[in-house]
Amino acid sequence: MKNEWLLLFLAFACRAFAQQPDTLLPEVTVVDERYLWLKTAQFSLQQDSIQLKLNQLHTAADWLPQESSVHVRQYAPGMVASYSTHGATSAQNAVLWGGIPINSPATGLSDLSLVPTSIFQSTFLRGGSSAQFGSGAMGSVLALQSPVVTEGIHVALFAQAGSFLTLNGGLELSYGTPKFTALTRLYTTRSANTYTFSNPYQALQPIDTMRGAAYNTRHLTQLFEYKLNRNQRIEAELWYSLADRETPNNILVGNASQAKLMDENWRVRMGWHLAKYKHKVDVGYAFLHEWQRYTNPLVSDIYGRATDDTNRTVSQIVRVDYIFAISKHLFWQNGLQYRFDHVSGSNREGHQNTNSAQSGLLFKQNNFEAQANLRAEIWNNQLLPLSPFASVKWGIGSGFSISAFGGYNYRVPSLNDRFWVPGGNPELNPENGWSYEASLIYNKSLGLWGVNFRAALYKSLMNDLIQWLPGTGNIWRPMNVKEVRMQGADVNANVELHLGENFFQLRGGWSFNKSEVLQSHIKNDQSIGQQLIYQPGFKATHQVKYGIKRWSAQVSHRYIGQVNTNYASTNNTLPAYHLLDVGAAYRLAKPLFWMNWSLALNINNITNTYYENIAYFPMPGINMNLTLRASL
Amino acid sequence: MRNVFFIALCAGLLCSCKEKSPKPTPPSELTYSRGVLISNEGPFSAGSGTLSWYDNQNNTIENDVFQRVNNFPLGSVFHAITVDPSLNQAYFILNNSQKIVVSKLGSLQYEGEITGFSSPRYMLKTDLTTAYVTDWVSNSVAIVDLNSNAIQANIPVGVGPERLLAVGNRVVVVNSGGFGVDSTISVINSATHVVENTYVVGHNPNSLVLDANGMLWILCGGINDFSNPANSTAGKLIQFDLTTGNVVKQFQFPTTTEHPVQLCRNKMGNKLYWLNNAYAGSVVEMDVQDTELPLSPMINGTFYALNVDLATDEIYTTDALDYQQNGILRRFTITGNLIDSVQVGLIPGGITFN
Repeated sequence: MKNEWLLLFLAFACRAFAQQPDTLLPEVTVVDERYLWLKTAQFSLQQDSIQLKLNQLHTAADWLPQESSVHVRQYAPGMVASYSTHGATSAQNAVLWGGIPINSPATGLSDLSLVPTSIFQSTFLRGGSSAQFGSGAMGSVLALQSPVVTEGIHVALFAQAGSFLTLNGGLELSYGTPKFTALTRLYTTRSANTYTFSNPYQALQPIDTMRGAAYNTRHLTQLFEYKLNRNQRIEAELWYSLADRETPNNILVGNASQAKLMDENWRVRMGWHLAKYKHKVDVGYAFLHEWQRYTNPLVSDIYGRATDDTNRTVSQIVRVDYIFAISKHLFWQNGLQYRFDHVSGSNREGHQNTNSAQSGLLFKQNNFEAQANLRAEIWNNQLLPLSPFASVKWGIGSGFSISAFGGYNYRVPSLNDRFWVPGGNPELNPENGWSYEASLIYNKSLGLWGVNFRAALYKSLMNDLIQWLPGTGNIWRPMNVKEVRMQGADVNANVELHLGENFFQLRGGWSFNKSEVLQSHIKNDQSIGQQLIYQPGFKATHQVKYGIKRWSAQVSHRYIGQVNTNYASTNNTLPAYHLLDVGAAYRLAKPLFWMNWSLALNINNITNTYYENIAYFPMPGINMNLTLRASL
Repeated sequence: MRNVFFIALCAGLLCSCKEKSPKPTPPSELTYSRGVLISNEGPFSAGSGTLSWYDNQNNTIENDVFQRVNNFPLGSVFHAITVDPSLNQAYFILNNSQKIVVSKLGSLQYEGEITGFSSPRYMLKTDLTTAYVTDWVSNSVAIVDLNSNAIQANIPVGVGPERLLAVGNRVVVVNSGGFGVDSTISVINSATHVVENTYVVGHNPNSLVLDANGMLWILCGGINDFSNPANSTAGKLIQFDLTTGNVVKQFQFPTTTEHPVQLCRNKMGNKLYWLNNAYAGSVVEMDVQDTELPLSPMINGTFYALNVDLATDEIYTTDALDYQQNGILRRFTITGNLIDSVQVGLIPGGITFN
């Protein structure tokens, strides 16, 4: 503990923070028109100012668990993090960067530990929406956008030190004129992750230490934007990330893992935007390069070569969006997209292309909104079933609204599913199915009070779910085998009080989910009727936030219900658990050394609860971090 | 609005209530004294192996027995079981946990552990207080003192030693190649703990039995090169005379995609059985006098493990299905008629008779 305090103070000297205090209450400006198009009926969640002040939200793996409908699982903090929403697995949820889908084409997954929500303005959009976003948007969409740059020169730094030799830091530089803006952000995070825990799987529950879970990640983003004239602007953005991580063994394994995973991503997007009279045109191009390397000196091939697998995917995307305001209340939106993906590396080589066209109408008048979209996609010369989407939202008075939406969603198989040698199955069909949701919404401002409430019922069907199965010749092969039904309810409530310089917020989310296998092509499949693995039947989140003048504080509680870890009848569940985190932040009144300073302290898992979100991989007990920010 | 929050609060509190699990009743010394033990590997990366107990007198199954008796899990990748009625002990071999858990045979109560392995696979008792354990990664056989439950020494053998069989005062070990390739068997003198001979048989030998005529039969899986199937080789079944050190007969399997495993024999020692493929194979039967490999399987299925109960002359198989749900234990007559079928644990990889 003494060492951790020492590190905390040492860190102040060498690391710095990126958010300016006066930009910590951002109105999320999302420039992706498809996203705006969809937002009418679906629930969305954005990072809020107090959480940003506390600097708790380094990655989406830290932020998304605060939403009750999302369940994140990872082997240890900073390790590969996958998530599910309403029973839809990680590959069935889409992550977008500036509107560009960035799920790995090789695996279909998004690793939330490599999505730094602290440097992006992030919006989580619940519900299936393939008609707008295409393949993979079956359960939700996580949209990342760079913040809007203000005029002048801004410099911000942050440094954070925490338990288990965790050191995070960042730098943000921005320059803005009426015509030109530039924004550079650096973000690093590293940890030895050597936390201790009382091992519940041994007779005397000895103190054990997490081994082989160190990580070191770096992100660099660079954004340029130039206004050609009053109606036109061009932009270019680069996002480079490099992650060097160990991959731990479960605690029943006798030795520490020596396996390592390295991820490197180059992402570039460019765009030209025109907004004139009733027309808005967006033309974009994106280049995505993903490189992964997995090494394990303890496992070799038949020639004695230690495991050293690489995976390289290159994607190119060209898209054009056009919006036409037919009238003050009626808008017509259209989009065309071409995408090419190529995968190469150990045990795989292949490519795919997808061409899609989508069109939609949005009507907004007074308390009534309605929209309809239709998407057609050609995947490797195969026309997929048309994907429609419709939604309606109607304000029925006294702050109450009702909304409903439904659509057909799909996910094309990953390149690994199709081209892995041996076993890849080029004949796989896309996963597909319908989803529906209906909500009752209450939004009211009562003087100093603000109240938001939403209760939603949802139902989804997914067909042709892909699962790898053993086959002849010791070869595993992915097959379309299962039909799954997801249904449940989400309740979200928020109460805010603004009293002079005091801000008080009480927020809660409660999600009930039943995701069960309806049919299976596996003979005598016992999973039929069972809850899908790693999908909690109930999850609740509660937050109390308080802000006064330069102080902010938050208490956050999460309850994660029991989950199945497999479909066997014994040794197949993880127990439910509660987590309680607290945090406080303070901003200095006056500049010091020409800089504005703030300090934040967070204590996570304050009750020191033992918990796992993947079986036999313990997560940390009580831990803390201290953050120093400076901005010019 | 107040009601909404009240309901939400109640929901949160209700979910926080924990169920008290009933205190397990300790089993008697005879509860698990006669029957079939099944080692369920459990998920490789995120799980524990489990032990199933099949009472073949009453056709009843009890899953996750060890956890229930001892209140903690066995460990990662439960590979095999050895029972020792003379010491009244059962040895549970946990490959990925690099240890052997020792339990009382009748009650299955935890007694201790044997540690210091790299990757233990199979155990064979060689005298009253000594056992050999094949250690797959260290390419050796560990000599274990069963009084102290400690490794005394290691005998270097070939690559990836797997099953082992006592023939007189010699122990024959098949060197399966581990992650790579080996083509040998090692013969150890169990009195001196010295490797007396190493014989070349075929690519990646994985199992062996002794027939009624005292001949050794060795099943070689062949090479399975996933990255370049052209380098794969076919499996072989070999009849080997240990007294002369010569291959008497050998049968080459017809294709390089068939990798046979888990050679067993019947009570009489005149029939051989194996699975025609790892992970998902059918049971094949062959007479030791046959001059050709059988053309079709005896029992069709996607079996993961196979063993023959030499006391009852019955065939037992397991099916791991999709490796995410309970596996199936099936019991057949020696002629292949199904007697019983029960659900066991996740990825049942070993069947041991007591």
